[in-house]
Amino acid sequence: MVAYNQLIPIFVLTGFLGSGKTTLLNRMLRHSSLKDAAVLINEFGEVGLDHLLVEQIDDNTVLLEGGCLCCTIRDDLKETILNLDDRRARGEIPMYERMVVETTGLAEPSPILFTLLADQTLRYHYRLATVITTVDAVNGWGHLERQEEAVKQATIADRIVLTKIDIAAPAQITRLQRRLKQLNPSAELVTADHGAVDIEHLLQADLYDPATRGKEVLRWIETEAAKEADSHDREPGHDHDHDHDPNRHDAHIHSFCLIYEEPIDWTAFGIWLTMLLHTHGENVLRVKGMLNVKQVKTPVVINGVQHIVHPPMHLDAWPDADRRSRIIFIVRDIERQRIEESLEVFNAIESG
Amino acid sequence: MCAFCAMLSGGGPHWTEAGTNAGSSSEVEGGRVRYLSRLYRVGLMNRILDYYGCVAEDWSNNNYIVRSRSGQTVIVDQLPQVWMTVDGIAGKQTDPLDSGLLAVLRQRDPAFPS
Repeated sequence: MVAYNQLIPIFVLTGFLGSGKTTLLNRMLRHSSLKDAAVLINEFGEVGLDHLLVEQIDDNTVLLEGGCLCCTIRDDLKETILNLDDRRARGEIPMYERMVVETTGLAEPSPILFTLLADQTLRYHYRLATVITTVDAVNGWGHLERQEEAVKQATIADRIVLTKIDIAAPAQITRLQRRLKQLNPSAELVTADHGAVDIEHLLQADLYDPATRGKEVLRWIETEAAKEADSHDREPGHDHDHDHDPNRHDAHIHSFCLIYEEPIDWTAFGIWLTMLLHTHGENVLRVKGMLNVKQVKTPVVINGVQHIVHPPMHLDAWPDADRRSRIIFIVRDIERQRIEESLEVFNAIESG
Repeated sequence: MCAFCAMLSGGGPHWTEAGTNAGSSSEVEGGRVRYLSRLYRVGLMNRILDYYGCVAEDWSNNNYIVRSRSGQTVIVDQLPQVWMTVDGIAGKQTDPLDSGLLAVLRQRDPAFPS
């Protein structure tokens, strides 16, 4: 089997209706690194895409019996990718080395990630790279207030591109940035000034790219460390604007970083995390971290979205002098202390 | 929890068994190393499963056999399916945040003297 980091990377571009996804996609496709990319879109919108290889995904979602929403297989997505793969192999279409999947604005993005990570056929050829979410600086706050999909799109992002900042008030932008940082501290916030974004950075800082992953993981940790200093932010429903509406879609979501001095037992950690995701996966929106694992010299990076966990990997070296395990959680309605205590107990259990 | 999280990923090793570097390397541990790590995993799992009145054992280095005290037996492929199975045969939802479970685990660990 091909090593995970040599599989074709798939970038997922999501964002609420009117948040500027297609405009960003157009810019991305003009960049030289995406000249050889295949692009999958949900609908041909008003903004035309001038690209060699654009395929439309039909809406054919298979909600599996007994499954939660995040564990839905997007059969249409799978078939479209496999069809492209087949045509590529037969030489009917040009070779492509990257892929971009644009979701609809109202999409719950987890099933797309689940399909890319869990499907047996796809995972032998492709891997999920970066999730990029566009958030409209003018209407983004309202979307987060009213639309659960918008909250999900923000929490699963690796990069959040703030669009329309040229028509938003500076105070509006700052307030939204703060809210997004609270929702997803591990995502990098990028602003699109008149649509101008550093596309290369957006696409190259991929966790599974050996050249960038150390820096990427350090960024997660640094962001969270800065936030830890302002612990008031971490309480659910608290923000600097003191907006305590409990009906807000993101009012129950909070993030925190657990730090463990003792090295982690990998087997116990696997048992613990699978059990946690089994029972609470719908409320564990993200788990990201860098672990000091017993008998492993370099840090082990973990990255999960709800029930889905990316294959773990080693960094070549510790990115800083700190050798403690640091795990970032974004959860809904689960107290930090319960998770902290549970992992501590599981890490200390001995074989029966 | 959805059954398919585990079922659909049956085409390769689950992330818990693929090694700590599965994202960068295709090397998968085999033979005796795999056997020993599965044995260790089953030992840890049984500390937890005991709380739910169940026990697990390794089967051929590939599957887990989960048994309840009443003798119900289910063979599963991967760790997430173990929890799903125990929920069914024990009649109790497995939960790592359950304070009762944590109290029992603490009692037997030297790290947490009671």
